[in-house]
Amino acid sequence: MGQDWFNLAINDHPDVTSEVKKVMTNGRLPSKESPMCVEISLKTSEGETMVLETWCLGMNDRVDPNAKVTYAVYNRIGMLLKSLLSVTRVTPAYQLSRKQGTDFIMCYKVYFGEVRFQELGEGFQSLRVGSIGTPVGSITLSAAYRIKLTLPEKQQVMVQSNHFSSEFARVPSDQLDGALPCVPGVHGVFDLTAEARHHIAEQIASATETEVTRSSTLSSNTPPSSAHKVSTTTPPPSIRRISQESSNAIKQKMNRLASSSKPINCAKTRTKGAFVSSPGSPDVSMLPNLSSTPPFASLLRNGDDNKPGSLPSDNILKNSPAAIHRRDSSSDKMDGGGRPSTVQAPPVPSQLGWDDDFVMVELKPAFASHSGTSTGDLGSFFRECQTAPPLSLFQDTEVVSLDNIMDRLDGELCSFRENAFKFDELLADLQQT
Amino acid sequence: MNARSQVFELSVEGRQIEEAILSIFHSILLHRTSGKFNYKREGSYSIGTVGMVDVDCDFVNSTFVRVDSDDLHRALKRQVAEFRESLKSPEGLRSGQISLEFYQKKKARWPFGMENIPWEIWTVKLNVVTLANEHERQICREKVGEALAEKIICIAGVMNRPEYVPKCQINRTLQMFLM
Repeated sequence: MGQDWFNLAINDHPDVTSEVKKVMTNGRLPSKESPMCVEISLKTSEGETMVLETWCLGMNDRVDPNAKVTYAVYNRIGMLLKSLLSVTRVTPAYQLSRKQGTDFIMCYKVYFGEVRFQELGEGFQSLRVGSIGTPVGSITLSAAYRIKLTLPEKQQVMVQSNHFSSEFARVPSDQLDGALPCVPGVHGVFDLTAEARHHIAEQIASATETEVTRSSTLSSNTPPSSAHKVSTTTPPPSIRRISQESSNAIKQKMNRLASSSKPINCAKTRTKGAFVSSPGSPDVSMLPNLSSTPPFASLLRNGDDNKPGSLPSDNILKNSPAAIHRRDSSSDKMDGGGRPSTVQAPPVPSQLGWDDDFVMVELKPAFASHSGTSTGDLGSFFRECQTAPPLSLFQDTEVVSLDNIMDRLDGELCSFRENAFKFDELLADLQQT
Repeated sequence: MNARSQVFELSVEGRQIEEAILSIFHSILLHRTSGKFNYKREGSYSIGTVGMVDVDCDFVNSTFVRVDSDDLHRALKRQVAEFRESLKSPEGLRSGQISLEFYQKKKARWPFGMENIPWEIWTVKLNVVTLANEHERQICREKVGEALAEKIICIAGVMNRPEYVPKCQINRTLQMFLM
């Protein structure tokens, strides 16, 4: 009781919540300069899109110095939200959204910036849901919606040309995300774009700075319907910021893990050491995640060790004094020419908390030679499981060749033909009775 | 008394009467409903949560949001049904109005017990039309839907004006008035 914000039982949609939080990075809030907009658009199965309505939460200069934030403003926000709930049901887009399915789906996009009225076609309607005076200005909630619901010709081209307009350039966060489907679990062509987008988002999340251009060029592989939303060769500032944040997060993680004072360089050089045959190969950045995971990194290094020129990273390592601390144990092992058949212990595994993984790797089912009894058992068990015995039913049918089937069919047909008069009699009988 | 008053006018078909009024009154009641007050001790209370449900109309192209309270819905529906019957009766009143009145209860002077002082009155004036064929019905369905949308936007506008709303008291109640 009373635990809900604004005393309203509004169900949060996790996807939407995370999307909005993404847009509101660094606690960005709607301001006088840039309101926050939610654009609802329709996307047909042919990939055409049409913006239906835009809801806009903004601020203006009308200051109400006497308004008490608790609880007058709070209560009025509750009232405003009730109005919003009522009004969202009466726009044409809502009626359409109830009919969405295979022909079209509804999408949403959250961004900071002005409402793009030109997207709403001729004679669009606007409505004011309400405004609330606060000591720092009034919170306003309004909407604009399309009246003409027929899809114009070459809508796609229009959207594209608008995309590069100067107004669009002012809202870089716009380009971070395309419109997302409003209904979860809508499958089909649209899923692909969503998947691609998630893939991009993951890439960004795990990216280091150098990878940003890669992920954005990758995004241009998405279907044309959404490509215009993200196909920029230079990453917008917001993406760059996220990547910086994520690398910061990695740095922090490394800080915690390693005891050395400057583990950042170390992390980078380790990345290259594990996957690169020659320094400066552009493929390095493809697998940034794995490299930070000691078990796999050391496994792969086993393969690299066979090549004589596989230690350029170690040279780099030795040149960088900060890295030495971290690499002490493993590089010692290599220098000593230790047999690499057992998995190299990463620096202080217990400290890293990956002990369990290491138990698994030492079993090595994938690399198992048949000498070890326990691993051999495991290997054969795996093989048995992978190739389940075929059902006897199917085995029987396999034995019967096509010729046999044809012969049998021939015989059956002949017998039917011979007995045709019997069937006729039966039919006549039935008709009489 | 200086009660605020809002009047909505609509032309509807007989079978649309109920849904038209319910969508308007429920939208109003949604705004005017607060969560349950839980009094802890003197002067201190917490407010509960208001739940909501969507209602799709059968005879109008419209959806409205109502407070998720079956009791409230039943009470409203009963009164609206009475109103509908009086309009649809054969002797034929073809138009009528129904009001939703919000009032405060105050102690009056002796010998009167309690006095009801309205502070906001919402009135819907209905004109019942008869339609000849299905085609006209289809048009009416959309037209009434659009009209209701307009009314609901209007309600939102009125509700969000910084106007007088009496302070919540324990005895605050709502009552319908049939006219």
